[in-house]
Amino acid sequence: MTLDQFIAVSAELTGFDTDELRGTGLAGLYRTVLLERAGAEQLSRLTAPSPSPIPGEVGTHADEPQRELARAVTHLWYTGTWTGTGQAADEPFVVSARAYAGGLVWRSFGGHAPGTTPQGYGSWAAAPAARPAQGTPGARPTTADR
Amino acid sequence: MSGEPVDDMGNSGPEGRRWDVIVVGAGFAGSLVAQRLGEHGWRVLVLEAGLGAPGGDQGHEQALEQYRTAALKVPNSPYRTSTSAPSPDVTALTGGPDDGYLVQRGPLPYASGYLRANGGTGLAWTGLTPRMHPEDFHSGDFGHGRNWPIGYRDLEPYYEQAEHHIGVAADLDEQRAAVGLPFRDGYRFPMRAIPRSYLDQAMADALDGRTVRDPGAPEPARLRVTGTPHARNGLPDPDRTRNGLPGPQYARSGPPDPHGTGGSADGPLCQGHASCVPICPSRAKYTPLRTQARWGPSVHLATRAVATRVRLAPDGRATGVEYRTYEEGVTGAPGGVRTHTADADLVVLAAHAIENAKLLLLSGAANGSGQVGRNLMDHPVLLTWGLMPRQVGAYRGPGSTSGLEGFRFGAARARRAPFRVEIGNWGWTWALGPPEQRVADLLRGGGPDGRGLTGPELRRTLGDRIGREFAFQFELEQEADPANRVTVDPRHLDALGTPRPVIHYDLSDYVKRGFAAAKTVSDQLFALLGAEDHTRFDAGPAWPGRFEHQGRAYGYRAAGHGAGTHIMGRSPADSVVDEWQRCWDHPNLYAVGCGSMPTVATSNPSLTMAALALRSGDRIHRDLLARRHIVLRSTQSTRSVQGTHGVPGAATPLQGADHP
Repeated sequence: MTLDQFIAVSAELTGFDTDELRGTGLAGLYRTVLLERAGAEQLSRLTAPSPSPIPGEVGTHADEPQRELARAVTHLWYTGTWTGTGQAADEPFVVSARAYAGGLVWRSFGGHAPGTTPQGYGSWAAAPAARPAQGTPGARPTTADR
Repeated sequence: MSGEPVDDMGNSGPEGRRWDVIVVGAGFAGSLVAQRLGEHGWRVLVLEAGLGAPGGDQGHEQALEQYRTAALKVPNSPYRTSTSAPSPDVTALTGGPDDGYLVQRGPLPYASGYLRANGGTGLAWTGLTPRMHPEDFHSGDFGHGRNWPIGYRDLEPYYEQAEHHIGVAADLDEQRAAVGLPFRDGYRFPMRAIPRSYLDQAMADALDGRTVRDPGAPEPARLRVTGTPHARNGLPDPDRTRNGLPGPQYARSGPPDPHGTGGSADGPLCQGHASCVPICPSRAKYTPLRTQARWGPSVHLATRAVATRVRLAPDGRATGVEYRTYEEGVTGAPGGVRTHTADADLVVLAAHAIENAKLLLLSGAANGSGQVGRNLMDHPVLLTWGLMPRQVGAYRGPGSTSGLEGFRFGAARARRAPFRVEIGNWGWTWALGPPEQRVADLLRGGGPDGRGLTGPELRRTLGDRIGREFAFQFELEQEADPANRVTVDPRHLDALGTPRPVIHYDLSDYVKRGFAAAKTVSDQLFALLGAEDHTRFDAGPAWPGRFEHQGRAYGYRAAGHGAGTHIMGRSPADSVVDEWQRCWDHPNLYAVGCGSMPTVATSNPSLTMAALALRSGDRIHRDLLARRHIVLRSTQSTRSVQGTHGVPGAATPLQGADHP
């Protein structure tokens, strides 16, 4: 699976578009983690679930391991933590300090991972920043993924 | 190199010298006592069981990296610890044989951790510094717990000194009006109040002036969202400067730059990293390392030095401390262990309340009353959590910037434990884990049929909810109960062969009635806020501190405020230390820290611990001077010792005589 393919599947899984995912600068690192932890064969079978009749519902996956892998990849993007696919003796680990800081869960509500980004004195008194709108070109990548 | 303790200057070998004072523990209380005695030139050896650092920029960066990459971001996660001086983690609560450092005998878990490392738990603390209320010093009058042998007025000058030493930002007028604290005319906090959070403001809009029914109180309680004093850098008080009063300590190298991160020796302004527990990246939060940076040259720090026994002479006087050193970087069995003794005129135990009790018990010291290790108290915390009706910007700023103070005092105290309500800025982290946990939950169980969410719906749901998360943290006073205790048992040893603390812990009906009252108040607060209540205390590993009271289930966390284990009192018959934190049974042995507190009250205790430590420091100075008048002793041989923390002989004990 090429990096572009990985990013395309990741966009379906996370709800962040491919430009946003590239902009994190983490896609290459995450693909490497997957290759190391799950292997090339598993990675080649990573797909987004086929559409469910209910919007937002997890659709059907061919099998449970495939579903587990899709969850693990989504979790990785949202948190920077690899939780494993429940098979090997896979201890959860944070991929890197940068991965922690880049977790999409913080961006989902316009926040920042604690202990990573100085916000300035008194910043917490202001109204929260507007959340980046979903699927709009507003969030252009600032760091190209290599 | 051998297991000889090494200080930050690379010097070794405190053994074989005679010290004026040995301080056991380089945390909050120990660092302050050593600082005060060093000001007078007394030769002080500080023994720290844990590892050194994270001092300096490199150590700080390492700690930050360790925190950011920790799978579980618990309070001890940024800091290196050793199996030779184990630290209890908040995650180890079941009391199983291999479950953590404390041996938990129940019936309920003692749910606080602490940190054995240079700087102690004061590295990881939240940094909130409310004073105790005058009423808190005689809460025994309400029929629960004990009275202090001193009152607010005795401690007030030391509250002032502590607030200026550690650097407190607070609104004095608000503290006077909303908390009812008396202040000396003309007193100023060194810094203006830390701004309240957007969440605090949303709370104030909905709650201020409204009333709630408190089942323990005859009248409804009127609500007022009140700012909390902080030991983190805010803006200097302009009036202080105008009046020619000395500015805060950090102003020595200029006031912090409000727009930047650079600034002063003592750190810049709070930058809102939202990680005060466990580590402040900008170093705006006070830690004991700041006090250590002000230590005089006569104070000598030895890390990796685990005190194992206080040495006592037949006449009851302490003569010194026996301690063990170990090699650094050992992950399994300890290496290079050596036993040492150091002699001193006076010994100060300033370790954590549980460690102080352990050391006294292992030494057979100070226990004429039978109270050593008893009266273990903490703040059991009832958490309630939910979603505000609109986005409030959760996970920004200090962990808590405001609270509700109206349930801390008054007649209701006779019927149920009082409590202080903290408004939690960090969402559901303390209750359910950080937002990463919500991702996992939604992936696995989200959606109408519980099969999990994915894609745009996952993003939309997280985006809608996490920024609305909030929590109330009800910190309840737990009264001194001799049955809650620390003991030692030679069958349970740590890696160095030192007995581990064995804990018996329970909550009384008085505390449980406090939980019930707090939950009733919480229900009304949620209704006033129009907030969605998500509070649930499910049976299982998520809530080891879970109990039922009158048919309702409650869960608790603990605030890390261990206290009472060498309790202070008026009489050697029923207390361990006197009002100066001096052991009744040993005229030159002090046990300082929260372990001395007869009541833990409802305020975060570190400021009170600091005030008590400074007060004891003055008393110890007087004790040493008095002894010097009696005992004629040559200091020539020790004054010229090479390789101490600073310049040999630069500060001799005799300088202390100039400052009676």
